[in-house]
Amino acid sequence: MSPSHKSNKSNGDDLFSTMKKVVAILLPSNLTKITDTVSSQLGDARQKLLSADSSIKSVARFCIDDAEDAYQEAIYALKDGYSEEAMRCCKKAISYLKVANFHLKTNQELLTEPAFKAGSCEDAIQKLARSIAQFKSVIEYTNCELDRDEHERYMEVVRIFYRSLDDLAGGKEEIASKNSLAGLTWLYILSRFVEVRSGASMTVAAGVYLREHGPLDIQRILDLADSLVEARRLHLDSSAPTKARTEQYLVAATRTLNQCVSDFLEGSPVEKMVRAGKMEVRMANRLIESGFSGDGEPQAVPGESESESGSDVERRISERQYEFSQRIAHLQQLIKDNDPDGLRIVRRLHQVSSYYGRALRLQEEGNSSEAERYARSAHLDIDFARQLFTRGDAIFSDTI
Amino acid sequence: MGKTDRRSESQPHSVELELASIQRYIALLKVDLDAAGFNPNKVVIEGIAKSQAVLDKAIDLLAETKNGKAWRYSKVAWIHALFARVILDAEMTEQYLGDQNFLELKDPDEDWEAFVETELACLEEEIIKLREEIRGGAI
Repeated sequence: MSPSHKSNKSNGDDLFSTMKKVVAILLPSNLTKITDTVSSQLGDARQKLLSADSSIKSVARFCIDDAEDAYQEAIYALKDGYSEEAMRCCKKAISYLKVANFHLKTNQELLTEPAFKAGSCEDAIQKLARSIAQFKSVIEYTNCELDRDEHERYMEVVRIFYRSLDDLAGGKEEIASKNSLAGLTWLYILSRFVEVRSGASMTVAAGVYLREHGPLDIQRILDLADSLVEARRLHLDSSAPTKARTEQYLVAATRTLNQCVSDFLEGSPVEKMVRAGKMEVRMANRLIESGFSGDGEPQAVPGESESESGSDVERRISERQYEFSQRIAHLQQLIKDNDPDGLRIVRRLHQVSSYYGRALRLQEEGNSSEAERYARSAHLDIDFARQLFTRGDAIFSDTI
Repeated sequence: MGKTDRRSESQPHSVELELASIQRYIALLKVDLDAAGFNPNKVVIEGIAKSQAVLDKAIDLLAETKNGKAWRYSKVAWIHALFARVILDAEMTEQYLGDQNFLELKDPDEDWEAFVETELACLEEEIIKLREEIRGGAI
């Protein structure tokens, strides 16, 4: 042992004995046992650390240091007469020491990877994390460049990943699970679309996971995505006039597909929307086939055009609401990541998103006065949030 | 007994072992990060920091005997660390392949305040537009 180590140990021993003396003077009887336990366990842990394997020494040392800090906090709390806080700090020290002991036991096997139950919420989020990295690798290997919209979608998936984790931490497992499944679905769709556009082979495990663990609505969305991908592939090989005529149906089907994922995220059923999307894909396929055979415009299936127009308004409103809520969510994430005091702004923005969505729905239902009331509330709140962000304080405007 | 307590009882090992495993995982990750010899994506550094912060929170919760919550936080800490690991691994391979132009996962942070201000103004415009549509009777 080097002289400096000896000196450190000696200082540590002095500290322990001083702490023990302070505890003995100040301690209420119900805390005697736990402080004695912490004190003796701290000594044992420091002793074990001396003979520990060097590779885990630093990890164990951090835990023991944290335990010592917590013990010291307990002493301060006792001095100030806060015995409950002292008890809490002692328990914290014991928890750190328990963790440290797992590092110090020579025969202790630790987990090398998280082991979550297959199909659970945390398993889905973990799969999303892996799929994001896998997509990144595939893009780099294939030297494929993402266009602006594709890259934005990819970053959106990363944001969804972080939101899922926040929701899991906040005990909102159902929402976290939905978010992660939606993130995996976006990633699957993105990889398949990039595959068609670039011709590169894009194998992303998200699809396999979703087929195995995704709920029925996700299976429906994947079916629509697969049929749309095939239509896009055929579209690439078709003649220029056919391409031009088919494009609008493929664009519409893509929008519908995106809407399906948004609806899933919002908790709305997707069956009808998937059916509408499949009709659009069928129309595109027929146009492509008729382009190859030289026939004219394909006939719409009776009833299809009617249901399409019915869903068009709904889709436009949902898209608008979804886009707005995603932009708000992006701002909330940025503020949470960068401003520890930004919670008030984040909450206010949540209100803005909620009021805006409500106003859109009421407008659709023809209830203009209520729609205006909610839209005004959204306006007041976003103005309030903006003042909070720029000045740190805010008042409700009386001119809005 | 609450639902979360039952769930924590159903785990095959203690939450402390789980937390020790995450600490070891992070320690190994830091070693690889130091040895990488390049500046990885910022999500790697952030992932490590977030994982450690959540892990400390889990220990606080144990001290408050909120075991179910501590289990939940341990899972969050795991996933943050795992995300940092898989992104680092992906970028290390890309680095070996000679490509240092990594695909970005997040918007650059430098201009975040300017971005938030501009975006808030744009969203306010969107609300004003909606109010005009409502007054005009359009959908």
